Parts: sequence; C-alpha cells; structure tokens
Amino acid sequence: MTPVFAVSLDALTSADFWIGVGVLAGTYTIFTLGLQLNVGFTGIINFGQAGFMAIGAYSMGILVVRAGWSLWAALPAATAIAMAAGVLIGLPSLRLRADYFAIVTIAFAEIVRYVAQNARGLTGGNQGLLGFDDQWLDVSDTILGWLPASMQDQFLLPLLIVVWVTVAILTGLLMLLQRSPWGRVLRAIREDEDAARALGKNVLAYKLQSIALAAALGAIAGYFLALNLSFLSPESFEPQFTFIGFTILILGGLANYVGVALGSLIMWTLLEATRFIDLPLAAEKVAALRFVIVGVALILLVAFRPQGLLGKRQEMVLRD
Amino acid sequence: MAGAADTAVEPAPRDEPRGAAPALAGLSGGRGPLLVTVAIVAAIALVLIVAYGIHDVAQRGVNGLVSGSYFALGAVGLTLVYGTLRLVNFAHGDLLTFGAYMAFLANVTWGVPIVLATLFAVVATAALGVLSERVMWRPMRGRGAGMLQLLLMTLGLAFVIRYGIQMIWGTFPRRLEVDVTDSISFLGLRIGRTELIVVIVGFVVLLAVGLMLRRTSLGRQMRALSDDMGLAEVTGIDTDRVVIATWIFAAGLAGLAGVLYTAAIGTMTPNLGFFLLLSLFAAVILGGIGNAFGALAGGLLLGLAQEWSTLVIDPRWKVAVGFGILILVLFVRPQGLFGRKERTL
Amino acid sequence: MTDELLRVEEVVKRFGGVHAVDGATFAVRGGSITALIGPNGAGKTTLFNVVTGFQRADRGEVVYDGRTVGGRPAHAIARCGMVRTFQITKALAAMPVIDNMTLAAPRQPGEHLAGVIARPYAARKREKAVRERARELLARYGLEQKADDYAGTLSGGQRKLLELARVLMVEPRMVLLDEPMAGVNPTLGGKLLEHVHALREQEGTTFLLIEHDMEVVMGHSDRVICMAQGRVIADGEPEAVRSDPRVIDAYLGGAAR
Ligand SMILES: Nc1ncnc2c1ncn2[C@@H]1O[C@H](COP(=O)(O)OP(=O)(O)OP(=O)(O)O)[C@@H](O)[C@H]1O
Ligand SMILES: [Mg+2]
Repeated sequence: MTPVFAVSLDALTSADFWIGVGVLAGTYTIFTLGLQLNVGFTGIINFGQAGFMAIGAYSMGILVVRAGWSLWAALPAATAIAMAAGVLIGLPSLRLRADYFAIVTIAFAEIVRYVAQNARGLTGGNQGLLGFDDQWLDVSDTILGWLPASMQDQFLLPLLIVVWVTVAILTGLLMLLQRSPWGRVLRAIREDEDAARALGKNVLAYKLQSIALAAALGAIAGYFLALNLSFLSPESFEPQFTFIGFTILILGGLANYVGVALGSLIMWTLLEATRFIDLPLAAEKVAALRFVIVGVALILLVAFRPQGLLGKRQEMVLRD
Repeated sequence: MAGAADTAVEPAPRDEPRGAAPALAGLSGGRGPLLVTVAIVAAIALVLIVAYGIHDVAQRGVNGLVSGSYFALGAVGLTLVYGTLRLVNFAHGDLLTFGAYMAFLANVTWGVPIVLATLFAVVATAALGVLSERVMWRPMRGRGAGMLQLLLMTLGLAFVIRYGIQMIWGTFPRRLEVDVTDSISFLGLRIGRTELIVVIVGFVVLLAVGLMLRRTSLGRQMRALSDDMGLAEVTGIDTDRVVIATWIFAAGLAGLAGVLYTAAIGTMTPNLGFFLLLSLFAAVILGGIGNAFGALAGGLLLGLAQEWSTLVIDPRWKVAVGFGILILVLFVRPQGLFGRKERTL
Repeated sequence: MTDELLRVEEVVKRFGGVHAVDGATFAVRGGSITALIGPNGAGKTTLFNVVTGFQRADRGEVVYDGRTVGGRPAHAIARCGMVRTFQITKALAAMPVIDNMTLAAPRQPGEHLAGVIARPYAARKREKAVRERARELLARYGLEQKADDYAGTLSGGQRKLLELARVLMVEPRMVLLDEPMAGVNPTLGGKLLEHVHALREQEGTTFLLIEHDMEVVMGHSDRVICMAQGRVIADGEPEAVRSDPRVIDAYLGGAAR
C-alpha cells in the first residue's frame, strides 16, 4: 500500500527553501507593519492592504515599463500614488463606524485586482507585466559580488538582505513614531475617539495619516514582491493576501511591532512547508489547502489566543 | 453604544408600518426617500431612453432585474445578520458559493432534479448558517468578543468554506443541469428561459420575505431584535430562537441566491461568492445597513444600475459600478437611501 | 449683555420622537461660574453635546466668543478654548495617567508628522514643559502617586479628577463640566471647587457645570440655569432660581414620576 502522503524533510535543510521563506517573510513583515499601525495602534480596520500593495507595485511597473521612468524615480512616485489612494478611500469611510471602513477597504482591494486584470493596456491583464527590474538586477549583481564565493549561486540573497534591512529600518522608525507625541494621539484615538476629539485632536486627519502610511508600507511590500517574482500578475495581489497579513498580525500580537516579524517568519515557514507535503492532489487543490490552513489558523488564534505571541490580551478588544 | 463618533451611522430604528401599505413602504425613512428614489430612477431611465432608445433600456432593465433578484436575496440575509447580531459577515458571499456547490452535488453528482437540488442547497446552507452560529458566534458573543475578533473570524470562516470547496471540486467551472440557451421573446425583449425562472423565483421569494418580515410575529421580532438586542431581551422576545431563525433565513436565502446566480450565469467557481460580496455590500449600504427592506430595494437598484451602465461604459466595468455606488453613498448619504441618521454619544 | 462668552439660541435636538433639547435659550457671561441644573433626562448632557460640536443641532444657534459654532467639528471648537468633560468619564484606560495629561496639551510640534521629523528638539522641549505642568496639576488633585499607573486602574472618583485635570491641560477659556462631583469624596470635591474658583480669579476662566447637588450649586455659582424637558425654565441668581415655583415643580414632578 502506498502512503497517502509523504513529507520529505530534505527541503527544510536546503538554503533555497530558507532564502525563499526569508524573502516572503520579510515582504509580509513590511506589509503587516502597515496593518499593525492601522489596527494595533489607531484602531481602524484596514481589510484592503493587498489593494495598496497592488497599487504600489503596478504603479511602479507601469511607470517603468510603459512610461519609461527610471526604477528609482518610479518607487517614490508609486508610493505617493498608493498613499493618495489610501486618503481617497479613507475620506468618506473613516468618519463612519469602524465596520464601514472594513467593508470599503475589502471592496477596494477587490476592485484594484479587477482593474489589474481587465485594464490590459496598462497592466498586461492576466499576461502580466514584465521588465521593470533591470536596474534592480544590476544592484543585485553588485551585492552578490560583495558576498563570499560560496554564496554566489544564491541569486535571491541580495533581495533577502535588502528586504530585511528595510524591515529593520521601518520597524525602528515606526517604533520611534509610536513613542512620539504623534503616536500618543493615535493611541488615544484607538482608545476613545471622542476623548481625543474633546481635547482638540483632529481625529480624521490622524486616521488619514495612519492609512496613508500603511498604504505606503503596503506599496513597499509590493515592490519586494514584484522584484521577487520579476513579474506582476493579478493573482499575486488577490484580496485574500490581506488576511495572511492579519493572521501574521494576530500571531505576532496586536500593538507590538517586533511581533510582526516573528509572526511573519512562523507563518511563511508553515505555508512554504506545505509545498513539500506530497499530497495526491492537483496543484490548485494544494494551493487551496494553504488557504484553508490560514482560515483555520485565523479562527483558532482569534478565538483562543487573541493576544498572539507577544501581545496583551486586552489589545484585542477594540471598542465598536 | 460606547462613544460612537458624532457622525456614526446607526442602523435606523424601524417604524411599525401602519395599514395595508405596499411592502416597500415599510422602509424606515418613511415614504419620502422611496419617492425620491423612484423619481431618480425614472429620471435616469428617461435620459437613457432619450439617448439609447427604449428597446435597449428595457432590455438591459430586464437583465438588471435578473441580477437584481439574486443581489437582493443575498443582501437581505447579510443585512439581517448585521442588524440582529451586529456582525458584518464577510463569509456571507461564500454561503452563496456553498449553496451553488450543494446544488451541483445534488443535481449533477447525485442526479437529483434541479428543483429538489435547489431545495437541498437551501436547507444545507441554512444548516451551515445555524452551525456557524452554534459553534462560533454564540460562544464568542458569550465571551464578549470585540468587533475585530468577530470580523476576523468571519474572514477565517470565509477562507475555510471557499478553499474547502476548491479542495473538493477544484477551480474548473461547473454547470447545473439547466438549459441556459433557450430563450423567450416578449414585446421584442429577449430573456433566457432559465433567467425568467430565476426572476420569477427571486421575486416570489422576495415578496414572501417582505410579507414575513412585516406580518408575522417572528418577522417583527427579528426587526425588533435588529433594533436593540438588549431591549428585545428585557421585553421578552426569545432572542435565541429569533437569532437561530435569522440564521436559517439569511443563510437559506444566500444558498438560494447562489443557485439562482449559477442558473442565470451558467457556471460556478469557488470564487463566485467572494466576487459577489462587493455587490452585496453595495446593495446593503445603498439600502441602509441593517434595514431588511432597504437591502431588497438596494439589490434591485444595484442590478439595474449595473446593467444600465453597460449602455454607457464597457460591460467589463459594470462590477466597478457597484464600488462606485458604495463610495458615492458613503459620501452623500452614509445612512443609505432608506436609513435614518442617528448620532449618538 | 456685552460680556457674554457663550450664547445658546432656540436650540432643538431630537432623537426620533424624543425632543431631548427643545428650544433652549440662555447666555453665559465670561468669567462666571454658571450652574446648569434640571431633573434627569432634562437634556443637559445633550445640550453640552450640541454646544461642543459632538452632536449637531436640528435647529437653533450656538455662538461662542462672537462666532457661530454650528457645523464646526468638535476638535476645532475645543481648540478655540471651549473644552468639556463627560458625564461618563472617558479616561484613556490603557494609557498611563501622565500620558492622559500630556496628550491634552496644545501646541506640541511633535504631534504632527512633519514636526516629529523636522523639529525633534522643539518637540522635546515642549514635552518637558508639558510634563512639568501635568505633574503640578496631578499633585493638586492628589493623583501624583498614580502618574505612571494605567488610567484604567483609577477609581471612579479619581477618573473624574483626572478628567478635570486633563481638561485644564488644554488651557481652556471656557470649561463645561458634566457632573464633575458625582462620585468624588466631599473633601476632594471641595478642593476641586476651590480650584475652580482659583482658576476663575487668576485666569478668568469661565465655567458652566451640570450639577445635581443643590448645596454646591447654591454655594458656588454666580448664576443658575434650570432646564426641564429640553427647555430653560428658569435663569438667574441662585436664590431666585431655588425659590422659583416652576423649578420646584419640575423637581417634584421628576421625583413623583
Ligand atoms: N443618543 C440618543 N438617542 C436617543 N435618545 C437620547 C440620546 N441621547 C439622549 N437621549 C434622550 O434625550 C433626553 C435627554 O437626555 P440627556 O442625557 O441630555 O439628559 P440629562 O439632562 O443629561 O440627564 P441626567 O441628569 O440624567 O444626566 C433623554 O430622554 C434621553 O433618553
Ligand atoms: Mg446628563
């Protein structure tokens, strides 16, 4: 009798596997830092982070490939576009109760995916968008050149390094911001908007800043995803990726920036390891299995360990 | 409610309608908003007729009623669950998917006739709704779970349903055994035979739902609970019974909507409910979140808006019309067409 | 009256069928301590909400310092110097007491993203001054021991005191207090009132306070406004209002209900 499935542990000891996991985990750390800022520190429920990631990545790709911009000019411009999208989405919905914002952002992410798929002239539709990363590849080669000869065949290593340096810088900056008087106002808003308002704080303006910064973080994550894949296609930006981010967020702990990286590493190790379970299933069904795992993990975490690994339990109970 | 913002929108309290007014007059904002809405729709129709001719407008209007009927059926459950439980159920779209695949299971795999298969799908989806209430929502409410916790759990459930279906049936488009080619002509308007059945079933069920909410004590209790759960409890409504009834209702209608959608469109994929969710939310917010009659009207209006939009823009973008309406409503009238603005502190 | 700071004119605020405020009209003189009394449900808190921009009046006008308030957002009104407290305290429970205080201070460049980045020195300097003032106020209300504890650990009365102290951090011209004494022990309550008087003498701060304790109202206010069922039924010197038959009626009627 053949076994129903087999697990080959060889993969877990290979450098390829861990570099792949490292790049994805770093990318999603940046992605989820944005969610942490919104959900953990401002109390606004952003369900559209994948939409901001898509807007950033596609704007960058379109500016480089269609408009002939330099990658280095396209990156800040695309970040600004993602931030503007955040403000536009936030303006009508952030004044309303928190669940309206959740609804609008999830709808927004779906529309962005839909546009990416259908505006073929701009985005390449399902064929995707290629050829935006030449300038990055030059940099990547330079970094590879600095590394010892034994590592030179790991062509993703430079990306891994740059992603995690970026993670470290952004996490540090966010922690500094959170300790500033600005961060104090955000925390007050999260606790009780009306109290903040009564003390003269412009709650809407702070929420818009929070969502704009989160959108920028989403866009930055989008660049790393794009460079990792060398290719932009709508499937890479489906709205459900936001919820991998939320699973990471809860796993690491709400209102804790360091927990994000930890949660992301655990999550992506698990998700990528599922690739090596030899199930007698078609590829699409294995892909589905990964999302079932995300769903179950999210439900169980939220129900039984809402504080995650590093958070405090009471952080989870956002007021309505 | 703990310190809602000054601009927060509360689901409007529903007035008890008097007399034998038509079902839609039960919209809580009174007759005014209804008349204004009808006037706006008529004005838009008139402009379109002048620009594109009566035939095209009527034909797309018919198409709009087809999609409007399953939007409305999907939206009413979403809004009722919100109203009674204050739960924005992001898994609601996937209940539609579940219904469609249950019908596929019965109709194609087991060879059951479509009518029975549809009934099976409705019952199975209702059962799933009740199961989710018992296993997830009731225990979580008992523990005093926060809004974020509940929202995330609905998303987790959505993933489990959607991708569970994908694990079993794959992403390959599936069909029910209905004839989607045969069509009927009437006054120069064409409508698919199956589509006609969809519209008729949809409208009959919608009417029944409307009557049930207005006339039966269960319906009134649902709407009372939707106003204020604590209040309903002290005034002696058996909330547990009403909550279960709401789930049976909401999930059963979602299952039916999923089957009708598949019948009208021709195929189903595991994503169908998630794709529809955006339109369902647009319908719910258009009608005023928590307002059952509003959701019915919102669904129909959204169907019309999407189909009429294809006169003006590429049909590819009609999905985006839903999103446009969602944003527009939030800017202009966040309480929805038929909601009443309440500010609380 | 020329020196009026706040004027409320024919303000109406309905909730569905309930006329919470039903055509209230009165004025508050600058530098005065005015008490707003009335039976439960008279519409006092709702009136505060309308005046401070937390709810929008259905009709009528609120004029503060010569400018209409209607339609301006709550935070903008607070920044003009009219600041309120809440009947149900809004201590920011998951923040330390000292942060509750420093949060309230105006003119902190570090509260703006640009300021955090471009003016860290100015922000730090301001923060230092603000902390000093905060500790001073906390000491005055007997909360200095609690400065570094979470506000959630305070007792109900302490929260009332924190909220008053926090409002003073805003450097207000006019303070609206919604039942500031409820649940505060009499000794501290007395100190609180002393402080109110001191602020009025030294800074010319104007107070409008909702209060149920008649002793306090009679002993400490220059003027008393009595509301019942959304309307102002009496307005004048404390003694005159106390002996006004309509006021007695309103209270007795309220008690009988
Ligand atoms: N958000 C609201 N929705 C509906 N009704 C409200 C709302 N706020 C206040 N009311 C009603 O308005 C009336 C006035 O309430 P308000 O809180 O202003 O009274 P109050 O004078 O402050 O009473 P108390 O002395 O008990 O604090 C009450 O009948 C109350 O039920
Ligand atoms: Mg009050």
